[in-house]
Amino acid sequence: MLNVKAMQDARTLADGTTLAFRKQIRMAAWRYRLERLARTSSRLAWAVAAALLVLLLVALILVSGTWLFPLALTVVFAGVAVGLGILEARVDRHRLLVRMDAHAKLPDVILSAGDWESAPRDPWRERQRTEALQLLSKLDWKQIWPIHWPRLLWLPLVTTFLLMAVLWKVQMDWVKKQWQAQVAMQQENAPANAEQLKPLEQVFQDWDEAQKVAPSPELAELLKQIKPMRDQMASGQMTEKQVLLKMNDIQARLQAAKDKLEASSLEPMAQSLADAVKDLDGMSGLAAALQRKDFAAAKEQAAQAQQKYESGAAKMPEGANAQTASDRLGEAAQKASSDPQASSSLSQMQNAVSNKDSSSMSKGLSGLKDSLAQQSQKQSQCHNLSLQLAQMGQCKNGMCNGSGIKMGMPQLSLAKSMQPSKGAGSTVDPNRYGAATQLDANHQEMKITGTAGQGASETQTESTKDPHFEQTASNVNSAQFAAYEKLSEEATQDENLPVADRQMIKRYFEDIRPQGNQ
Amino acid sequence: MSTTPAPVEAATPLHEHGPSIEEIEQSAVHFRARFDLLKAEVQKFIVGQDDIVEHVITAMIAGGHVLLEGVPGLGKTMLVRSIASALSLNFQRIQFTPDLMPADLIGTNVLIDDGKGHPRFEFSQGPIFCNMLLGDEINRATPKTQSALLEAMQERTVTVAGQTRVLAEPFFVLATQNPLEMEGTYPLPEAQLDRFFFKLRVPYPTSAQFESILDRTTERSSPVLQPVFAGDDLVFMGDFARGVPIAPSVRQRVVEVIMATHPETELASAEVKKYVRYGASPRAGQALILAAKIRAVREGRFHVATEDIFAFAEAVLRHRVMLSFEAQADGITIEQLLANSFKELRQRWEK
Repeated sequence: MLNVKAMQDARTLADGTTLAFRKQIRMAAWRYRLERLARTSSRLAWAVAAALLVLLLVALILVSGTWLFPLALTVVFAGVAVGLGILEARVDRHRLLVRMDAHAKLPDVILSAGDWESAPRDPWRERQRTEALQLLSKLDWKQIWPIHWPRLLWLPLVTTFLLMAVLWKVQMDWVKKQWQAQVAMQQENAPANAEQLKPLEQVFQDWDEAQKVAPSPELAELLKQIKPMRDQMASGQMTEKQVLLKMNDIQARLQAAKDKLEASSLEPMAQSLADAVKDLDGMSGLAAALQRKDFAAAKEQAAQAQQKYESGAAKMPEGANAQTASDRLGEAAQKASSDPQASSSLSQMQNAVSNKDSSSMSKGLSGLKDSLAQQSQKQSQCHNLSLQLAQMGQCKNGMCNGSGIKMGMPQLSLAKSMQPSKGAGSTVDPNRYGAATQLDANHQEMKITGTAGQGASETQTESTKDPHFEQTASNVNSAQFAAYEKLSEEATQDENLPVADRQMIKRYFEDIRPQGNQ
Repeated sequence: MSTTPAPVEAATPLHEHGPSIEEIEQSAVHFRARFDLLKAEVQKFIVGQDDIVEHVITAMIAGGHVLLEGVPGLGKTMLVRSIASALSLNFQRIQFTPDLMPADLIGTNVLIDDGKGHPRFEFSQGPIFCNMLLGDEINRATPKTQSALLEAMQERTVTVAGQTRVLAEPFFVLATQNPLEMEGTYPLPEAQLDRFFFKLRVPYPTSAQFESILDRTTERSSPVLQPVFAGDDLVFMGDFARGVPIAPSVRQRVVEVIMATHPETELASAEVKKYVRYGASPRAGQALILAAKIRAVREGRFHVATEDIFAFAEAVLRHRVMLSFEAQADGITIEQLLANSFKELRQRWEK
């Protein structure tokens, strides 16, 4: 006889049991996964922290490598990925069932029921499945299967966070420096545009104009030499650095020409010449002109004096005056040895004074006049060269301010200086070539201390009257610049710095270089 | 998800002719009641020895034979006699001696004169034709006599003069033996040892138990044991216990327990590889599962658990695992070896 009731029970139990099993096993599987992660979390976190520490040490030792922080991030993400992998890794069903039994203190109840899920139905197995399900439904997994996370897990996690922060700081400082150096290098290697080169071109155009106003073979030669550079500038092929180097060349060439002219100049001994001729009759104007170092005027005065001696209108010195004049002329002749013609003329004048020979004096003055004419021309050339050097310096100064040549707009003009103007040459600037400015300020520093507010208050006034040179920044700069420059050169040569950084340091010192005699 | 169980199978009817769950549960209750009743009856006379009594009853329900080992005077024989008294079984006792012959055990054909001048051979049954045979001090007999039990124990038949005779059902051999170190003993052959379901070591009683023993055995009136149920019920209980299912995972563990005693397998521990000559036979696995099933029912479970296996593993394997001479030289006992092996297996399963 068929056991219908048992069949019905079995059918009901079979479906219900299986579905309930699925649900319960899924819940327990999460506990299993979390437990597995908790068991390995501490080791995993310490491994990540150790890897980050190694990377940080590498970063501190190498001080380079933008890849370190991304690598550190990769390590952290890898750690997280491993953690997720552990969490999501396959759960062995058999082990899960065993663990469920162990936590619920059910001796192989769930394991057996799980094993028989797909087995043929029989009362024994159904009874077992039912029993297992009933037991499972009463279980609170959170209570019977607690997840114990390591107590000191926070330590590697905090360590990891701190290491990442330090690594970020180290790397970002380095990256920032690299980026700045790269930008500087790009700027340096970038072709200078027309806007940047406009001031320099204006200087060159000024020189062209000057050549037209007063043609000069030296200036013509210089313009010829800078022609290729100007062409390159016009075609935009020159970088800022190349322009600066070319400007240095031009400056060096101008300075050499100026030095050559100054070597044969009578300016240093102009006072001696003035002293030698000041007591001679008809030569007071010549002496005054020489004293002013105005060789053009001196030439005119020498011509007038020559006419006087030639016509006999001027008297030769006599007695002790003659001897004194002769000695001074001899001394001046020796000092003017850099100009053979002037020296010869002065010797002739010395002889003329000794012999009281007016015609010989006239001839000597004639030679001196020619020499003074040449000196006048050299003085003019020297002035022009100084002006050109100043123009170049102005352009370079603008470039060294860090914003290209824009700020170096030429304010000086060689052409304008050559154009004759009303009253030109009538006066001479006593500080034309930039002698040190004498500060004559009466500095007084006051310091007032006291309590502000209503009513009577105590105040104190201190006055100091310091020497003005101690108050002048340029003096301090001058005193310390040499030391700083030496230090910077040593640093830039000895230290392993990028080229662009080195150039920046040089520029900085170029910026703070005291101008002239300050 | 990897833990997704097998798909839900279509609901199939239970055993159409089989017992219902309620019937099974009812049978299980009866099983436990009878087991407890028998045990209680035996323990009227036997003081302590709970494990020994339970093991012996379990072996009898499983239809197995038991070898009891212990020094003389620990109540081995009394235990067997008590069990026999508590069951309505035909009980025979043989005192094994060195001069005991196989024929003395199983019987022999004797020439009989029917009084009409026609002599004929007639089989004279030996004491083995019973339900419960107590082989006292079995290791005092020669191996030849011991081996006479082989066929009876395994096939439950006796063959004499080419004629096989079936023994009564149920048939149990409960043998006792003295430790081998004692004088005048012969070790049982391995083949015969394997036929014993359990080998139990009877421990010395505790002080309290000893006092109780002295009280019970020196008073005027001693307990009288009454049969609690018949031998057929024992067979029924065994049949019922065989229905207890065992999960594949647990069955696999049984296999691993047995294989771990074989030094040539990967499951064997280093200690087993070193000290074991050869491991347990498949009969050990059968005995283990049968005993575990009976224990499961006793514990009120409807499946075999791992703890059921370990509850009997030592008794099942103790006489089936042969130690090497090296083990004997190093003083390694089979109990130590098995305990370590079980410990390793448990650790492996818990991973």
